[in-house]
Amino acid sequence: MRPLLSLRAGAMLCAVFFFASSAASQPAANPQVVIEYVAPRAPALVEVHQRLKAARVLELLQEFLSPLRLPRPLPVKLAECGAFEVAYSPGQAVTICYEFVREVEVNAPATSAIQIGRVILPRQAIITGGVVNVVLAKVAYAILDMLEVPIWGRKEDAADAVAALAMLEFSPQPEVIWAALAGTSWFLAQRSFYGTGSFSDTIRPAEAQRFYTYACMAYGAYRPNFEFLVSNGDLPDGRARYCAQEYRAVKRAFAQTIMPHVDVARLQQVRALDWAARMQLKSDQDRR
Amino acid sequence: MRIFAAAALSVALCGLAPFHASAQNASIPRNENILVDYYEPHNPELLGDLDPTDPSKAVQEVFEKYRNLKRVHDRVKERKLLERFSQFLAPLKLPGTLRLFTKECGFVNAFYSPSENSITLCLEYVLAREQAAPKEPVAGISREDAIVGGIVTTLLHETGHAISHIFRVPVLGREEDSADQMAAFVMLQFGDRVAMTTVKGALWSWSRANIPLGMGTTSSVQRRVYSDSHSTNGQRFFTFLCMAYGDKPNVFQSYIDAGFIDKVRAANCRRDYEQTQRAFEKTVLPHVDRGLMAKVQSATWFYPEDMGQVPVQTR
Repeated sequence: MRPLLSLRAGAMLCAVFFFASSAASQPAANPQVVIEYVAPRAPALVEVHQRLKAARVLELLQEFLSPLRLPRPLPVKLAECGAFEVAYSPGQAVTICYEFVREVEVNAPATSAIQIGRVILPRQAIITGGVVNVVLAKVAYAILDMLEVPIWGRKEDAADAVAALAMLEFSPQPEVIWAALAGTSWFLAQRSFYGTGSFSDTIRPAEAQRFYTYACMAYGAYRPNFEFLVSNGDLPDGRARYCAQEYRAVKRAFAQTIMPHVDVARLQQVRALDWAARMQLKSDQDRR
Repeated sequence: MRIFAAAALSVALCGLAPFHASAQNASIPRNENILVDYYEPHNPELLGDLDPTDPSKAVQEVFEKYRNLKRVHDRVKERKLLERFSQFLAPLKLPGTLRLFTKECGFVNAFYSPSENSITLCLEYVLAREQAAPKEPVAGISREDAIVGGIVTTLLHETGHAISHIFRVPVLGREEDSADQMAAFVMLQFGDRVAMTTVKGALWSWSRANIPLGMGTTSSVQRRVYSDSHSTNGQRFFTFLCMAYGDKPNVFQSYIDAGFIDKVRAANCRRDYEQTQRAFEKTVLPHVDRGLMAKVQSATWFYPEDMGQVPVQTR
């Protein structure tokens, strides 16, 4: 089994997940975000397609992006790609591949729950977090392009930073933050490192670097909650000491470049929604 | 700007041909908001109370190190390296004081300090560049290319950090990549010959410093390299070459032909360069005196004699 650094398989959690969209009020979708679920041909992907459609993943994205003022339509589709992912081209649709989502599922923990730091997260939350990451990072890349945001550094890294910031800042609900970050970290760690011990051979360096980007942003934003990343050695001291600075720099850059395109009042309304329920992250116990 | 730095450094560090600043350069003022200072290296006789006639190996090594750093210090001071770099940065409309230092650091590095608002070029770094430079040209990279280009790249990289900090430049990507891009972009604004020399110096630096990360590399090394806020040296090599090829494909085509960069990546280099150009125009150019910049760009500075050679071997 490939390691997930310190994200250890842990106790079972008796969590029951709900499809909870009916429980929350329906915010207006961003009319510029045009969504499509393209039916796959490969039998193995049919179930993935149906599951994502039933979970209204793209509808949630439309609502999540409703405060954003986009100058033109942004098509976003879930589709069979014949590959793990396809690159975004300006003017084209953002395509999230069923193959990628399946990869997230394949790499999910073998146990029904895992312990990350002091938090126990169900397997499904890890999968949800991984999917949230790919959707946010892909869409962020296109939005940076559409809004003609000045990009210093690689655009892929900028998209990751925006995705990480959205995960950390968007919802005040801890379960949303944990699921998104843990799912992202789990997936990137599984893809990056190979071996039976912590930090064996790095087989995908770029994804290893992405892992550290997300870990550093989390530690920089909520140091007490993510201290375990440093104490366990997952985030080396040499990087960790600058994470708060990195986080603040991204937050400021976001405020300078993206926030002018955001309806702040609308953002506050969207942030106030019960995203944990909408993302099906609440357990039976939570809902009682 | 880069031409100036290249000129100053090439003379100050290499002791090559004499520096011939043109009359145009003399008309470019120093940036009034930049303070410069050359700290003397630590004299072991004064600071450590050591006796220079002591024959013990340990003491002699201390004095040997001191003499080497003192030679570097004297050269850069005599040649007014920092004053000239201040002249080179004249177009920057700085709101406060930026300090430029050369000094003994105790380690090989150069760095920007946000708290002091200072750029420090360590004497050890200059010395290390001299020692690592090839005696004879290697893959078309001459000794002066390696020293001048490497140090100019470093000074511009640290200046990139300073610009980001001082002007609150929004950086959504990695800050270290941003500083590299600023350096590379500036290096390409002063004509083909200067671009060739400085980019070759940068390529020499990153290819020499690259850590092989294949099978057998220890996990602790991998973790250190991939968790670093800097990109890997290999990635930095490609950043500089890709920016250069993106802006001047005819000048740098031979590097692509020689296999120094993947052709798929090369096909996107123009896009990468334009992305940086747009970011520069939106976020940095508003803080630049364009009249002075044009003056600095049009000035004629010293060019190293050995340039224009390109690698011919395929990796």
